[in-house]
Amino acid sequence: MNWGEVAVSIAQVAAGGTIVQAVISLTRRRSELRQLDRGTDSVAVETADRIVSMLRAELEIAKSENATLKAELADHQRQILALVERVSELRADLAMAKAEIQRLQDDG
Amino acid sequence: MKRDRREHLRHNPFGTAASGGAVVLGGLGAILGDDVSQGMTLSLHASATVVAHLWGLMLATGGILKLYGLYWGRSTMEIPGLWMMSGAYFFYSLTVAAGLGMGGLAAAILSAALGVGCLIKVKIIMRHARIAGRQHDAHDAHAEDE
Repeated sequence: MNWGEVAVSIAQVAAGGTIVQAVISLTRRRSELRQLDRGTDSVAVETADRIVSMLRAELEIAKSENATLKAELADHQRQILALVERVSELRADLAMAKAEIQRLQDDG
Repeated sequence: MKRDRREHLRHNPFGTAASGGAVVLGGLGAILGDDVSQGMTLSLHASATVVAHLWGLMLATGGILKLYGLYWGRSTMEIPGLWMMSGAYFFYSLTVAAGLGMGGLAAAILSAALGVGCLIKVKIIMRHARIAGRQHDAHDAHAEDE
């Protein structure tokens, strides 16, 4: 028996052994492997869930910020309108005062 | 789901290539027999044709099981696939070395390396599975306590 035949015998034993191992892993380790798959699936689902809820929370925060800013904007616009009104009132008063001064100067 | 597959490829480039190569080479071996390997023809003599067909079948089946297990998340398929692939790669490695001697050294070393890689992957997956199984048992015991 030369070394080539020995190598071929070893190869045949190795191939046969791995087929036996494949069958053993299916029959004896099945429940553990199933558990691993289920764990991987549930981890993926949990991660996706967590990301979705995180994004939702961020969306809520952004929405409330937006509402606050809108309210502030409306408030500022109201203030501007009030100031414009006040300016025009003061202008009218000023014109009246000028007219009065003119009248008094003419009289004098 | 498509993105999921791309993630698998990103995390397992060598596993994918090794099993893709196994499917191609194994398929050719299953169809053509010992025509795919001169080393087998020389080392197996009279039984070369039959054994090469069987070897091709084993390698292709292993590759298909491994790919299915990897990309569809079924380690119950992946483990037998890896065992069969490693066996077929070692078988090829030894028969090619026996048939061609130094001339078959490159093929022998490459396929032996692939076989060793498959065995290491089996070990890693089985360790994860043991941990998962233990956690599950602990979880069950905890649920019964409550």
